[in-house]
Parts: sequence; structure tokens; C-alpha cells
Amino acid sequence: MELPIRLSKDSREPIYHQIEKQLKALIASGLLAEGTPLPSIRALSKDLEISVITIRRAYQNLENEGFTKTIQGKGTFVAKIADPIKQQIKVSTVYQAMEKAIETAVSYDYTFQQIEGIFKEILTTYEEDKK
Amino acid sequence: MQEWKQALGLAMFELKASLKGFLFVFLLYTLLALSVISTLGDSVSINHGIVDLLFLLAFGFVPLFMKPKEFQYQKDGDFWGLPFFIMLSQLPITKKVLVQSRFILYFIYSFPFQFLLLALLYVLNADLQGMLSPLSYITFSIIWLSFGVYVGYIMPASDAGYKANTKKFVFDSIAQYGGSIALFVIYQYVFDYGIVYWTVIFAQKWPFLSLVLSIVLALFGCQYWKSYLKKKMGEIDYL
Amino acid sequence: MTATLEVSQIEKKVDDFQLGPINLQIDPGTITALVGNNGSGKSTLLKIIMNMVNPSAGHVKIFDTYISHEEDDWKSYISYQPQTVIGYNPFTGNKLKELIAPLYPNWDDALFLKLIEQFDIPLNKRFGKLSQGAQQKLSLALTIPRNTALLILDEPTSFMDIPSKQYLSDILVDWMEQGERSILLTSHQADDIQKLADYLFVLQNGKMIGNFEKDALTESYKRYWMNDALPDIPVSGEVSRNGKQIISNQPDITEQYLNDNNLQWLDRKALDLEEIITLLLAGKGRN
Repeated sequence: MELPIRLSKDSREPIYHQIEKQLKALIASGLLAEGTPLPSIRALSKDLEISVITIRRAYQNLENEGFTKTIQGKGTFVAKIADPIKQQIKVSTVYQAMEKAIETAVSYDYTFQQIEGIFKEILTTYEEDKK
Repeated sequence: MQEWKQALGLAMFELKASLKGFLFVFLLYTLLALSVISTLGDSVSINHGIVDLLFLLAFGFVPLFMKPKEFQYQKDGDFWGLPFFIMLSQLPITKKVLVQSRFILYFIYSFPFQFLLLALLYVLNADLQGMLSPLSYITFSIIWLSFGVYVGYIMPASDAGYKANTKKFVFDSIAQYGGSIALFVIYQYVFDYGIVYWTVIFAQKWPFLSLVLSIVLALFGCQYWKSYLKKKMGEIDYL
Repeated sequence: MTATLEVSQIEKKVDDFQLGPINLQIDPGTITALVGNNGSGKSTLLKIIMNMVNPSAGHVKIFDTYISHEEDDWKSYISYQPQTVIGYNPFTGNKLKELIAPLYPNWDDALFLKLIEQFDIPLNKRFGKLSQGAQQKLSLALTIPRNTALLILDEPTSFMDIPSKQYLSDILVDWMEQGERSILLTSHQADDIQKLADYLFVLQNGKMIGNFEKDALTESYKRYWMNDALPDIPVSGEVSRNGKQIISNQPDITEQYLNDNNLQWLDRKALDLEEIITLLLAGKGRN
């Protein structure tokens, strides 16, 4: 199974951290439900063209934080995650996405007012599309 | 026993890949030898330079030419080696087995031809029959078959390969072949009796001594050439 | 954890070419790509590992066994595919399999047949009569299923088409997952390295430049597009510059320097592996 993980090598955020965060988001969103097997370290390494050392690090962190469980000889599976934690991740994912958008706008010298304008505009278009 | 079987298997593997070629060359050389023997006729003495040449070739060089081309030495840069041997040396085959297989293969290439030659010569040459009883002829044969081991086995012993640029190779070849030919010619001029004739005399007069001496030399030679090949394998850089 | 392979202080002089001293360790479960310019000594190093070339100094160990002429056991731990396979020519694929398979107790015949089928190689044709691409594929089919702890491939894909390369990397990834195995490969194809390698061992004209973890290497190189003119003196961390572009292999230090000197940059991008290798082999950016 190929996971919808997108890595930005230009970012200052370490790759293992990006992988870890995106996997958490996938788990929180329910896309990776409890019990779903994660791809093997080697398989994900090939798909993302990232070394097994990096993937192992990300997997280890997920395991330590209780997001996954590894069964010896079988692989790594998504663990049961309490709803509040899922909620927390969802919130922080949204916050981070917004922050990133704002950072981009700021770097192009947009004012806060302009940014707010754009935000509202997108929101309105989105609402109309939904109807 | 297990090792011996594996070595035989490896030798047969190479032989089978070129069985037709081998049989063809075998037949060709046998016919050549036959024609030499029959031209001599049964009146010509065994004490003849041609007979010496025939024996030296048969027990020294001929088996090398029995090999089909793709199993002979091939040049790669300054290195002359046997591709199949190099391939085998990269596989988990013990050195002992690998070395053994080379000598078994050489035996298969050389012995039947040498044996046939000795048999044909006795059957067709009345001169020889007159000089040697069948029993003495067996002694005579063992002298020569042993020679084929302690001298001839230098051939498989060289299977590890040879490093030389073209100049050195040409020089070495001239030195080796030219030297052998020169020695041979000088011998023929200086001495009244040929090499083969001498061995006939040995078989007649000192059968026991020549038998023992030959067999001891053959056994020693075989061991020596085997350890020589093993040593060479460790020295050469297959770059 | 015992290393699968340990190369210590290996040196070799061939005419006026000097290889080493080389130190390399390969751990179980990892793929190392041997990278270097032509004539950097990659194949020679592999042949030293295979004991086909005698080093003038140093030693090689596979697990706890020293590789030497006195011992034979180590050979069953390594499968080696040289750049040009020699000795196969007179034999058909069937014959070669008959020779090779029984020598390896873990030989995977199903994998062999799978490779043969996927690569579409005739097994009843003499090796010497096959095209270069088919020869390479058949050699791989005769090497990978040996299932040894270490697999050494010298330029395995140089004559292969794109789909076959793709297939090969899938096979190798699969192969790696069957146990604690390792691969050491050389390749001039940045693609192979990008996809497969965990470590890059870089050689330049016989000298060892380093053994880099792939992501650490890619993360450490950044290219900056500057807003302001650069000072004449090199910027901290700078390894190369081109007009208003600079490349750094220590982005943290470089950015600190740029900030301290009030130099603005427009954009920052990672380099791809090919560019990094080129820089390393050009002698730039070595610490």
C-alpha cells in the first residue's frame, strides 16, 4: 500500500519528523484505522526514496508515543488511539497548515489584512462549492 | 569421497559443455598419431627422432590442445586466464575441490589418448614387439604414463592464470618452446639413442627400478603440482 | 550487533594507482552504494572483498571470519556479481543453474523462476549468445536467489531498460525483507542509489571520501538564491557559488552567518543526490 506522504526536502524540518507527523495525521484522520498494518520499513524507504535509518527513527517515535504496535515477525500496526489525542492531532495539523499558509503570504510581503481577505475569499468559494 | 565426487562433477560439467569438440579433437589426434606410427612401418626402429617427438608431444603438450577454444587461456589486459576457472573460484567451492577438479579434467583429456597411443604402437610396431615382452611393455607404458603426470601435470597446475604483457608473453613463449625444440634437436644430434629407446632399455633391463622410480615421481609430482596451483591461486590478482 | 562485513585499513597499489586506506562497515539490513568516478577503485575494492585481489595491507572480515586464502567458509556468505561476468559464455542458463544452485543451501528456486519469467530470458540458449541486457538479467537471476547474508552487485543495471530496473529494485527490496541481509552495490545510475541505498560510500581516485547516511547527506546540502550581493570572502559553510547562488553543506552555520551579516536570501532548496555526488567527487564540500 502506498501512503499519501509528501516530503519536502527543502524544508528545515527533518525528514523523519515530517514522516512521523504525516503518519500521525493519517492515523488521526482515520485513514489508517486501528489494526491497519503499516508498510515495512524497507518498503516505505523505497517508496519515499528515504533510507531505512530515517524511516526506522520515525517508526520508533510513533511506537514510543503509542501510535503503533509492533508484533515481532508480523510487522507494525496502528494502535488504538484515544479520541482526545486524535482530536488534538487534528487540531494541530490544521493549525500547522494555516501557519504555513500565513508564513508563505508573509514572505511575499502580504499584510495581515490582505491575508485575512484571501482567507475569507477562499472560505466563501469553498462554501458555495459545497452547496 | 564427497569432495572427490564434487571435483569429478565439476570436471564433467566443463567436459560435457564441449563433448563434441573434445571427441572431434581426440579422434583427430588419434588419427594423426596412427598415421605417424604407420608411416614408420614395422621395420623402422623405435630409435628414431620422430618417435621421440611423438611421445614428448603426446605426454607433454597434446592434452592442452584437446581443450575447446573457450576453455583455453584467454587474454584480458595483461592477464591470461581460464574464464571458467575464475568463475568457479568465486563460488563456495573449497580450494581443495577446485584444484582436484582441474587435475581430474586434465586426466580425462590426457589419459585415454596416451593409453590409446601406447596400445596402438605396440600392436602396429613389430620392432617394439621384438624388443619388449607384453609384461615389459606394461612397464614401459607406466614409465611414460608417469612422465605424463610429473611433467604433463604442469598444465593443470598453470590453470590459475598468468600475468604478462604481450612482450613478456612472446618472450616467454619463445624461450619455452624455442628452448624445448633446441634441446630436442641437440639431443637428437649428440646422442645415438633416442629418449624413447632409452626407456625401452630401462624397461628391459631394470623393470623394477624404473617402475618404482616412475610411480614415486608421479605421486610426488601430482602432489607438487596440486600445491603449486593452490599457492598460485593465492598469489594472483584477478584485476 | 556483529557487522556483516568489515573492511579495515585495506590498501592496494596497482601500477601507479593507490587504493585506500579503506574502512567500511556494513550492518545487517542495510544497503550501501559504492559511489565514485571511473577508475576510483570500486571494482578493485569489491574484488579485494572477494579475495580475488590481494590487498597490500589491511583485512576484510565477514561476520567473525577473516577472508583469506586459507579459509573457504566465508564464500558461502557472499554472492558476488562482477561487472563483466566471465566463464558463463559456453553454458546455457539451465546448465549454469544446475552448477550454482546446489552450492547454496538457501537457494530460492521460486525466486529464480520468477526472475526468469519476468525478465523473459531463454534458459536453453548459451549465455554467450544472449544480448548484453539479457546476460545481465540472467546473471542477476543466478545471483540474487543464492540468499546469502551479503549480496554484492557491481553495476547490475548498466544494460537494463527502465521497466527492468524498476522491477529489479522491487525484487531487491523484497529480498532485503526476507531476513537480516545486506547489499553492497556500485552504480553510476543516481536513480538506483536514490531508490535503494541507505548509505553512500564515496571513493575518489582510490581515496575514501566517506560513508554517508543518505538522508543526512541530502539534508545537509542546501542551495540559496541571494537577494543581496555576496561578500568576496567565502560564506561560512559555503562549498560552491555561482553569481548570486551559493551552496552550503552546513545550512545552520550559513544561515546564521547570513543573518548576522544582514544578507537576505530569496529561496532555499535542497540539492538532489546527483548534484551532491558531483560536488563530493569534484573535491568540494568535504569536512
